[in-house]
Amino acid sequence: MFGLFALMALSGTFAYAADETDREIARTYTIFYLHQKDYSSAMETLQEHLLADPEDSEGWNFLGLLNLESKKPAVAAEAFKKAAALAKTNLRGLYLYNQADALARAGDVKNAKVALQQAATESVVQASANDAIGKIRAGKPLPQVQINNPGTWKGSFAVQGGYDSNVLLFPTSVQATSVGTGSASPYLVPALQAGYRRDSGEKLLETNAVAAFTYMTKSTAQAFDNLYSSASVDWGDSPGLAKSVLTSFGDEAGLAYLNNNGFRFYDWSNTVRGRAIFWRTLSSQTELELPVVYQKFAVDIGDDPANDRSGVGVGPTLTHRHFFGANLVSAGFQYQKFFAKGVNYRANTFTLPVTYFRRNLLWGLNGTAGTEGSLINYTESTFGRRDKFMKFSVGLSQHFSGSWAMALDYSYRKNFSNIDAAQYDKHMVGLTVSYDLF
Amino acid sequence: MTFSKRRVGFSLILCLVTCPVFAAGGAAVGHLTRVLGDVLVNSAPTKNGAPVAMGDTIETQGGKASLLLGKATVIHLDSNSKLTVTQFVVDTGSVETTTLDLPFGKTRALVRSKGIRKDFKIRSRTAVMGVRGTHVYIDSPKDTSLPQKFVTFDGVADVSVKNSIVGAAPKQVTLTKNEAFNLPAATEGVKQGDLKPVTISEETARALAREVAPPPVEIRTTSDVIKQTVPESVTPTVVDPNLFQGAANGFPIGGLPFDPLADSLVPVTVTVVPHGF
Repeated sequence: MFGLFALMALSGTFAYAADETDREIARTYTIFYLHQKDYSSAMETLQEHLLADPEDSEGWNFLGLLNLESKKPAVAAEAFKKAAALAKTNLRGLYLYNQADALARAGDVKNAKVALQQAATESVVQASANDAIGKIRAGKPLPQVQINNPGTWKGSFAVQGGYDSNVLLFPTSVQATSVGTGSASPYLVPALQAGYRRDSGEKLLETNAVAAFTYMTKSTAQAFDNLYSSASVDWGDSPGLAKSVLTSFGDEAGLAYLNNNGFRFYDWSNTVRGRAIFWRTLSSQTELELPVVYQKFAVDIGDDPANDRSGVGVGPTLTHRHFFGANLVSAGFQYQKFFAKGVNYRANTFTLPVTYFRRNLLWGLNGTAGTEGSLINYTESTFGRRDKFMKFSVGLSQHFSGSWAMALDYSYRKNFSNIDAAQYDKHMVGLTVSYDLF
Repeated sequence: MTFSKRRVGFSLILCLVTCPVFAAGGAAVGHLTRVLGDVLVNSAPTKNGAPVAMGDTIETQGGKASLLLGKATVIHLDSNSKLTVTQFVVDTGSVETTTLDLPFGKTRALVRSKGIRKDFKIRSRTAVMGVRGTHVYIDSPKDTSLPQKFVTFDGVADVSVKNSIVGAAPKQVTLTKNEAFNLPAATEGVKQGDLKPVTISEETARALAREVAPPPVEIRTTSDVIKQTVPESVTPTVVDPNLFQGAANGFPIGGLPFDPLADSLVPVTVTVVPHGF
């Protein structure tokens, strides 16, 4: 069912403006001259561009900033004024703030205050403008403006239909019998997802929430019909920052709940995680993730306490991603240590996951393939349990123009164990269709 | 009037010295910017701000670079690309003629639509893209068994396919805004009927453009201006985050430890669909 969530992605839609190409050319040249500290060529480039494209409000703002850097605040104020007059977005507030800054530097406190009062009506700089009104000094710059990026909301609805060959995870020995055939079932999963993202350029805030209901069509498997929901928040360095190490922190909570056919169960988990991305080059990056997980499983009266899987786990993970052309390869190593209440579930796990992704594999479809192998040592198990787990998966996905997307996923997993009851395998295939609601 | 051989030879040398625009390694016709990773000019390592002359060949290997040609043309080169500035001539201020050779690689070119008239061409291994303005994309893989892709993001461009591909049939395709054209590999025997442009979505166009090089950063505040003047030596070379936007997000971290029951219950991985990647 992973593909279901894979499809419920956050994506942006843009539109090329008529003069966008010329504006990008002008900005590219101007920034190049700035790198060379050649202010006169930078200004000359922008002035020439604005003669041909006088409606470019961003261009006027940029020209104002260059004049400000060149100690020509009065000239800068005029450029900012034009930028604010032409602005069709909430950036008008920022241009007004810049105008006030230029006017204050030029000694025109009265008009600087007027510009700040106008800027304060725009949410994008409201806090900075209100703060600066009391700090205007003739001949002095205003405090550095803080842009309040409003962020974006995204929401989608998806439905996945598929087939699970072993819902109940019957052991291989049971699957071979007529009893075992009752474990296979077609399934249907409707799901909702919503997310919020705000990137200030310095810091990135991302939140996400998912709710999904899994319905098994075969009655023998319906004990596993469940409601799954999760919520997460991550906060840290913006990926656009030119820093050698990017860090972020996050929290994710999940709940799986069953109450069907006399079988009542829930699994609640919370993960606190820290991430550091380092060794960043043009085509690769390495990430260290340090998650700490708390998991709570329902325990009924009469259950053996040794089988209580509730507890705390840590799972440091090192991942290296390499990008070449339309391909992305990701490989890593994960060590998990779990301190369960029940002795049968205290475990050390070593996992080696490898994922390959290819954009535009065939007919515009994106393709992915992955494999992972794990060694699991249940250190205090009364049965001396030792498992080896492996999983293979392949998938195809396609984003259509507009809000629709589709994915086809297949996975096979197999668990080897010295305990017969824990040996199992399963095939899953699912087709997902998703629609962006907002 | 007669000239001695020595005078002719001297005149040729003088011309090569005084008319460097026609000679490799001569006067700069452009500069490199946004140089990231391993980039070579005429097989030698280069850096931001390096001049580029007519006849120079830029090879990005594992890096990326952007070439500012003349006063109003930007050529972004993706990694594993090779481009030669074969011709760049400004004819007494009335026409600017540019011919670039792209033996292999991926490029996004922006040509200013206003101002001096421009005759701008990019030649790939089996086709020529003539840009009438203003924003185009070419993907010509090094592996010649793979197809080439031509896209116009803005304006109009003509793609002329070499006769060896299409025989005697008409050979030109005109691409307007957000139209793409896939030219099959030479060995596949292309027919004129195959040379039809297809319309791509704005979203796909944006993704292709960003893949080669995202637009320059927004300069909106005084601190943005100051950031651009920071010495390059203290600015680390970083991964373009857009390359990884939407790619797989790490590994599953729930379901500790692996267990049959948990394995059936908890879909722990929320993987973002690769988008804009």
